Amino acid sequence: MKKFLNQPAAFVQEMLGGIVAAHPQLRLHPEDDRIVLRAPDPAQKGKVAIITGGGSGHLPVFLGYVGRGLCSAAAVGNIFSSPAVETIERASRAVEDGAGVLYLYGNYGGDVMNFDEASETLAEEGLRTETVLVTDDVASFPPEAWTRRRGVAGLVFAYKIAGAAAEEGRSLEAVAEVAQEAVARTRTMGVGLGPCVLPTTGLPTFEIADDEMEFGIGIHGERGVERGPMRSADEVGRELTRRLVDEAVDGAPVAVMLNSLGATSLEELYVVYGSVQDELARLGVEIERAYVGRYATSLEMAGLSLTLLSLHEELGDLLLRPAHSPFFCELGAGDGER
Amino acid sequence: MASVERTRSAIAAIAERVAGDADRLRALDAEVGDGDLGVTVTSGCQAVRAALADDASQTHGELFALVGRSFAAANPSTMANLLGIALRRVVRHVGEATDVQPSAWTDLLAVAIDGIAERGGAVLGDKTILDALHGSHARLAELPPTSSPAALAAAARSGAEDAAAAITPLPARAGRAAWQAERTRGTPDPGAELWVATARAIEAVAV
Repeated sequence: MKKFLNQPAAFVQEMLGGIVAAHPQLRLHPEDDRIVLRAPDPAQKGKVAIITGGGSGHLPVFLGYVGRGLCSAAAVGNIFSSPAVETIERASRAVEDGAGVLYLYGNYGGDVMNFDEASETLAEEGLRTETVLVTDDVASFPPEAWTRRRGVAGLVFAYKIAGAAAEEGRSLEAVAEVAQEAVARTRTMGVGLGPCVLPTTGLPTFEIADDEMEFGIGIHGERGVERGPMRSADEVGRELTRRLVDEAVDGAPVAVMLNSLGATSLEELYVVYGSVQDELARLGVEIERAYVGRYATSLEMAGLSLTLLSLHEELGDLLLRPAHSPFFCELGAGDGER
Repeated sequence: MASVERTRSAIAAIAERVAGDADRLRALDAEVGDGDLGVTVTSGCQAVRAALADDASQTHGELFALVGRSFAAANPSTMANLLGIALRRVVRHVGEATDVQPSAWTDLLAVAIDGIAERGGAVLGDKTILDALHGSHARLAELPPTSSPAALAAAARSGAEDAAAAITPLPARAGRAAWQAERTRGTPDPGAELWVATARAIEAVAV
């Protein structure tokens, strides 16, 4: 596959350089160029800091959600690889402002290992951390084992809700609690049409025939629940909606996110969105807010994911508080109201 | 006694030897896991040697910190993360020591094992690197503290080999290999084999 590259080994560093060059509201830590920070913001004084992180290759996840009303910093790893323990520690020391740090990231073994290790070292220094793992990918474990699931596009809802709670000045425990509640009510499922190619190796993450699609694909191309023949956009939209509504909270309105995994066009997403909306209406599920676009990708993987967050009044209120980063904007109540 | 300088050159020599086993480890891992252990070992050992080439650490703590960081950052797979964490625990344990007595290596191995067990979540018998490390430690713990470096290294190596052989018939119960647990019966565990290769290299360098 053709790619715009200089040195494959420098891909992540060059990407980060471009991001901070384009967006002055983001900057790299002066002693660790794998930490993305927000420009200093007096409004953050004394508030809980939120740190996320993980492998590169998922933009806007993770660093794209560093911004006001969202995360305070992101620890950046190589493509699909965990950030280093030292990077997480340094990021924590940089953003901690007396109220403690919430680690909010996707449930992957290497990330958990490194964030936990950092948390333990920092505890010895007297820096308080709490951890909430995002576990929204329904294809990775059955409903009764939902806390072991992988984290995918549902990260964005978790950031939005935890970020609003932190911005409001809530305690570390309270921010962690509402983030955990958001995670517990968020479900995602992906459908893959084609792999992405790793810039370092030039190899695709998986193989799939031209006439096949994979339901339940993971955000690194992990095997899903079912590989079968191509189906129409309507069938895909309805199928994903049904599977997620099965696990949604009865009677609760939802926030909907229809997300491109990278290569799939916005046009296709909107074609699918029509059938998602129709199916939700048929099942009697009220839509509070819809997000359609590239929110959590896998380089140029072809495919999409659907996420439902079952809201209640408090979650709905936090979701719609103002927030801003170079990759995400919420103007607040009234913006995009239905 | 091992001075920082002596430990540094020993680690560089060990890394060179272990890198020679990368192909065998990659092939084993491709059978039962995702096959990235070869890259982890090749690029990790290469990064360690490059870092040591212009290192001026004054203490064992600084030295081990550099080794762990370099290895873990080169290709941050789960194994690389775990070994990086193990080295961090060792660093906290040795602190500012400039000399490390041969008998202290047994304790350092125990600290590394605890770190891997805690973060990796595996237990003995799950068929992982933990079993091989524990085999070395059990054999070392039987030796008197006055044992020579050569005797210690031989015990660590034979303990690792025996433990790795003992788990080969078992099904894997941790990591990606656990996804196809039954199929791993009879295949040596790549992680355990990595420690066997390392223990052999240590023995060759220590004598």
